[in-house]
Amino acid sequence: MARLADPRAMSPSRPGRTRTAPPVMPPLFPARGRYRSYMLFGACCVFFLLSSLLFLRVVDALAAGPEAWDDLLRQFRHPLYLAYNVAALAGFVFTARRFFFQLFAKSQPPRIGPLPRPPLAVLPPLLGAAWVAATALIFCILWGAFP
Amino acid sequence: MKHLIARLEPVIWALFGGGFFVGCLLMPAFIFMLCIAAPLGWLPEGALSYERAHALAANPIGRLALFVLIVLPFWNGANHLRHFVIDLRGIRSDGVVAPACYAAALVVTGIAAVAVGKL
Repeated sequence: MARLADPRAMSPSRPGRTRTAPPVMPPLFPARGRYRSYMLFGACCVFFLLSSLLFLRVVDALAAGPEAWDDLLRQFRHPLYLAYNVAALAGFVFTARRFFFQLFAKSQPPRIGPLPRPPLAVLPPLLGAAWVAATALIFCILWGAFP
Repeated sequence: MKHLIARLEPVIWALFGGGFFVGCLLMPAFIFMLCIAAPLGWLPEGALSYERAHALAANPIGRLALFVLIVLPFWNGANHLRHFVIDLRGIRSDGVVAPACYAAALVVTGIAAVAVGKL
């Protein structure tokens, strides 16, 4: 059975005479130029982690009964919770914009399973339409439009 | 541990991609309605009363949606945090950060399965 590749496998047993320069971070890293939005995109992972835990709390309150549910909604009215949720909403919208409209199309292989990839120009509008449809459906369900 | 994580990379990246999709498609609407609009009283009376919210969440589709809404974004966040820390601190930090991130994601997956099962 083949073993996993070791990136140091091809290195010489003794260092050669020619020394390579030590790696240096680019001068604009981490907060200037294109690195700024890259690092912001990375930092938004905190919202993914914390909001998942928040939804775990929502499920726990639903399982615990009406008092726990009302208590949770009361806690969500606290300015700190509201500030976090507004910031998380902005973070998710920023991530969605970057993922759907900048990254997704570029990362698709020429064939997706047995099917050829749709034209790259079509993917962002398709994803945008899916986002609008999913958001509208959730709004209608939680608004009480459906019984 | 390093080799185990390397072997599991395809699964982890699939969960990462799924987390992006779920997080970007569904999370903004859920956060706005559930965490901002409902507490501030912007929704119609009874739209998210306990009885209605429980009925929505406890049916099989609701349970699946909630499980996916918790688990996939957490896996996404764990993998993204790992690579964010590598960007900031270098690859040497990965020996501690990767196992910690994925262990946390495994724990949250188990807790979410139990919590959704109790609905």
